Amino acid sequence: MSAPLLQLENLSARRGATPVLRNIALAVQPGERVALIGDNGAGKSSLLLAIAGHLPTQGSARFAGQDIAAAPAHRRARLGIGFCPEGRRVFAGMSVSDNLAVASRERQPDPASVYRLFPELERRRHTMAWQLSGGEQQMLAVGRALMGRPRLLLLDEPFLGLSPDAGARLLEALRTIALGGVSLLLADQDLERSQSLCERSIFLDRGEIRL
Amino acid sequence: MAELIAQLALNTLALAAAYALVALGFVLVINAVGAVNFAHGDLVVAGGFIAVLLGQWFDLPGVVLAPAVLLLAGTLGLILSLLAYFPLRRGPPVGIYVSTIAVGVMLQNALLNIFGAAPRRGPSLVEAAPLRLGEIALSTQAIATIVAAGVLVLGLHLLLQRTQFGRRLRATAQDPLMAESVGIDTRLTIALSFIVAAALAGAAGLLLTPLHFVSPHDGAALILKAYVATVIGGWGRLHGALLGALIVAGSEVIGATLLSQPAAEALLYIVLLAMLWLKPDGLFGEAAGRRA
Repeated sequence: MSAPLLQLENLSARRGATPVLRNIALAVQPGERVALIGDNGAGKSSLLLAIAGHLPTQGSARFAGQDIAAAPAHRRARLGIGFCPEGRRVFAGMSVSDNLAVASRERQPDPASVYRLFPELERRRHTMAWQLSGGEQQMLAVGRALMGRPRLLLLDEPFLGLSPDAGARLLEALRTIALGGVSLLLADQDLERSQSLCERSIFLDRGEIRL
Repeated sequence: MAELIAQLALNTLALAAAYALVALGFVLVINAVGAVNFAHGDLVVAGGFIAVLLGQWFDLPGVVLAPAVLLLAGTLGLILSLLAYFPLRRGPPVGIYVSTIAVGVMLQNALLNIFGAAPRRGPSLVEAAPLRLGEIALSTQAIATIVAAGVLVLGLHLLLQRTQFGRRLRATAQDPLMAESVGIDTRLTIALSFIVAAALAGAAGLLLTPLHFVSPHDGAALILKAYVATVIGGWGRLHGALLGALIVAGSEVIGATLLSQPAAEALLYIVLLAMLWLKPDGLFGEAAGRRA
């Protein structure tokens, strides 16, 4: 087996005085698709925020062989960790094309591959992000993360609030992304859907991994 | 009468052009960090005194000195961000308000010690005779002020809308956490926004000194005008700040010419109160999440 793309050991985090992650040990292999399963408050979002660099942690975190435990979020993104947070958080006052371009590290941002995956975004490239539907905003959030050429994509409840049709199309797009070799770490409350996309599941309960 | 109206309009536009630069820099920092930089007026004054000093040393027109004024004022903006913003960025905004007031007062006193309290005149932007249109003579200084500010406003617009730096700045203003998540170093971007805002303030100082002189105590009045222009235009709206600056300058010039200086001041605040009553969110409002 090759070296893990992401390796967490004894990772713990607090929000104020409350521990939200306890002694997390997790390895994600290159190209692997892993589902995070758990109830509300189990720690799924906290774990994704911690990996993305938005939650101070104790313990060891390595990505692509590099120690990222103390790395700020923007450096983790540049190393190849893409993040789609809960609620999409697109840049509402910017156009679709600017949302994509801002995430690129190329001198000439080229969103062609994102537009191939989500043709709706190309049609609406001059539209302000706040004017998009929920499904389109989710496509934009995923497309924006892809502009940074991630090796690992963190997805926090990406299907939340989507219509069945939009959800199905997003699921198909995520399969295509995974086929391209991008690892996925997916937090989703729908066990069946998660397991249809991912190769293995990890169960979180009150900030701890349950085997 | 025609000459009076033409000169009045020109003076209003020239003052509005300078105020627009003050207000744009002010709004840029509000958008970037979500807090008011109360030292912004003192940065305008500092820009004016930099122009005065460079004018004395090199005896060159303001338009030639402009790049150096922008550069030095931008450096002051960077120092301001390092002293008054970054050490306090994790705390409540009130800490930043107070720290920018403190740095502004320090800057004001430094200028007072170096230059004294008397108003000083900076170099003319261009050395040229008044422009004659038939019977009407128009101030080339005022025209140059409008053109220079127009170039800077257009440059800022292109910088924000057409460059990756501008996109990063807008993204940081809208959602710093997500900006970090797409690989933007938000600390660097915020520092750059302080630099650009201070450079605009410096440019405003350069444009104001030949027409209105500059003294170390002017900062408070300038920040108040930027504040009023921003409230009138809509909090955090760049194009609103332009219109707000025009209204502030119009009240000042027309009020002072037709009535008196105190009446002009009163007129400005009557306009502000009327605006707050009729349109509390300002002319362009502030829709959540649609800033910059």
